[in-house]
Amino acid sequence: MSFNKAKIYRGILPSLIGISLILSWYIGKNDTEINNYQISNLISESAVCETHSIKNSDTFVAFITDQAMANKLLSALCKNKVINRQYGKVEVHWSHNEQNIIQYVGKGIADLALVKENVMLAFAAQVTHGYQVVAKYQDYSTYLISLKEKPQLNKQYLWGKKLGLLDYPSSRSGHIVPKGMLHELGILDENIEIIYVNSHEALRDLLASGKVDIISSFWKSQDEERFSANYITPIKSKISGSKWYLKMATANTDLLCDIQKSLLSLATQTQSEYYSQLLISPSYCALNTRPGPKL
Amino acid sequence: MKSNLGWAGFFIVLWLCFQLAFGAGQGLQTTINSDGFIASIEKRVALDLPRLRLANMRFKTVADNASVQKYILQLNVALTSLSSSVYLNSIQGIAITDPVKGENLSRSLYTTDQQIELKLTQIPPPLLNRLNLYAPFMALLIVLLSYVRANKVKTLTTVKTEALAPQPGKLVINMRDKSIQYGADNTVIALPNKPFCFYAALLDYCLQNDTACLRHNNDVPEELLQIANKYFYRLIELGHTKRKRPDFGANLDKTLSEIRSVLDEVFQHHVQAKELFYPPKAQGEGSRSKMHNYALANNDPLRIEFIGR
Repeated sequence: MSFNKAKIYRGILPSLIGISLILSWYIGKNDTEINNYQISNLISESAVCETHSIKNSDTFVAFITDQAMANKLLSALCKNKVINRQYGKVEVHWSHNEQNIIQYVGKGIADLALVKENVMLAFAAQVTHGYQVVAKYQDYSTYLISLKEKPQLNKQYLWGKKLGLLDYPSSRSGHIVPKGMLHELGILDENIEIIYVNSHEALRDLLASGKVDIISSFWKSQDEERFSANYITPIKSKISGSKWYLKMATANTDLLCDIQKSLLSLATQTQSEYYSQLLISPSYCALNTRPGPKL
Repeated sequence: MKSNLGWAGFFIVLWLCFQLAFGAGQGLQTTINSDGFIASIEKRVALDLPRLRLANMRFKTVADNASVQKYILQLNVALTSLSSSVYLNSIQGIAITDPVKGENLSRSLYTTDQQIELKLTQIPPPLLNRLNLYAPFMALLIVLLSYVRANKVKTLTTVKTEALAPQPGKLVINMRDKSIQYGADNTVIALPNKPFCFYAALLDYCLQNDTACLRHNNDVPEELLQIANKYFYRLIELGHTKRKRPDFGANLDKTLSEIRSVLDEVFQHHVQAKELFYPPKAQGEGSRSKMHNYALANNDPLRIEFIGR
């Protein structure tokens, strides 16, 4: 048998080759085809659990700024007897974003919220939506903390220094109090170098690394491992701690008392020095979870 | 050996062509996929911008590198699950510690007060993915089909050639090349139109009329003339001539002489068989007498074959 082009059927062969070329192209295209490019939501800012009252359509909404604590709170609320009786679902939302705080509290969306008093006062939420304090953390003081010397609260000392502050304006110890001090001392932003970070831990890292001379924050016992208690200077004391607010649209005292129980239970589980020192208010509930301090 | 190389070459050329077509399709789809994923990443980041803790000079806020890096890693995990070839390496200069290697791309998202830079990486598809089994399979299939077809054509051609080959002892009147051939003899003689048509008609006429009596002093029978005319028109159809139809009744002696001359050559090596197909000559004095008959003696249709009639 010899290869003779003339003998290869003239009409069918080119058609067959053409069809095969198109088919190869299509197979190649189809081989790598992806139909779904959509990336689903990656950032979670809420967690939900269902109570025993499945038929109940009411949802208990809680808001908090700390994500780590949010999960524990959800667990505690889902075990809460009164919530299980009165609500079908519990949602815990968390966010650092101050706009979200305003939305949840300012518009009365949250049934339970852990927020700073100044925020609550700014929106008069206690009057507008009937929020009532059910527990609070201990008052604390704001300090200027330095690495190598005790800071002085005067213009001469602070002039030209590098000061570490928090970048969110609702923070009292990391922003409001030190800014107010600078203003009182007549130190303008041009006279001092301010370096912003977004957490109290980041402030401590900044000071320890020597990138700033002073930071403004609260003082906790663990800080003595990194800094000297001799090199701190109080700027302001008796700053009220964050408070738990419960929206009391009705005189739902059972709920108030059971929420207090849950919060006390939560305080015993946390390892945070700050969050473990919870004070309950008002004190008429018969709480037997822990003989905690009363307001 | 040479023919096998030809088929092998044919196979390789087809394989390459199909492979190129496959690669072109794959390349196009890869580009479409990359564009789709880049758009999807841009959309996802744009939607998440309010919740990402990025720096903003105007508001004196600083980025939370850890949360942004965690977000990028989560995004890349989602992209992996979608079989994406494009990954995100950094947002606004905050990069993951172990960036994906590949071709670097940059995209910008514009907000009311900021320009957010995204650094992406596109991973080229592995070379092995560019090869496929369809290309050689299809090439092989076509070569096999061609081989079988070519084999069949040759067989048919051989059979046809064999069929066309004149049988021993058979006179072949080939209208296609206007020739006469006897048996397996290679002597093929072409004739002019008039003697060819007349001889073909004479053979045909004599086969139909066993006792035909064709005398010189009589006119050529009308039936014979009609058959001769029919063959002439056939020659026109076959493209041998465009001339006016000749008068087959005229110059009969000359026509028969031409026919005999050709038959002498055709039967050069078959003198004994010639008698059956040869218009008899007049013998002796008075050859033009009434007794001479130029009709053919053969009346066996199996010994005459008309091709292209």
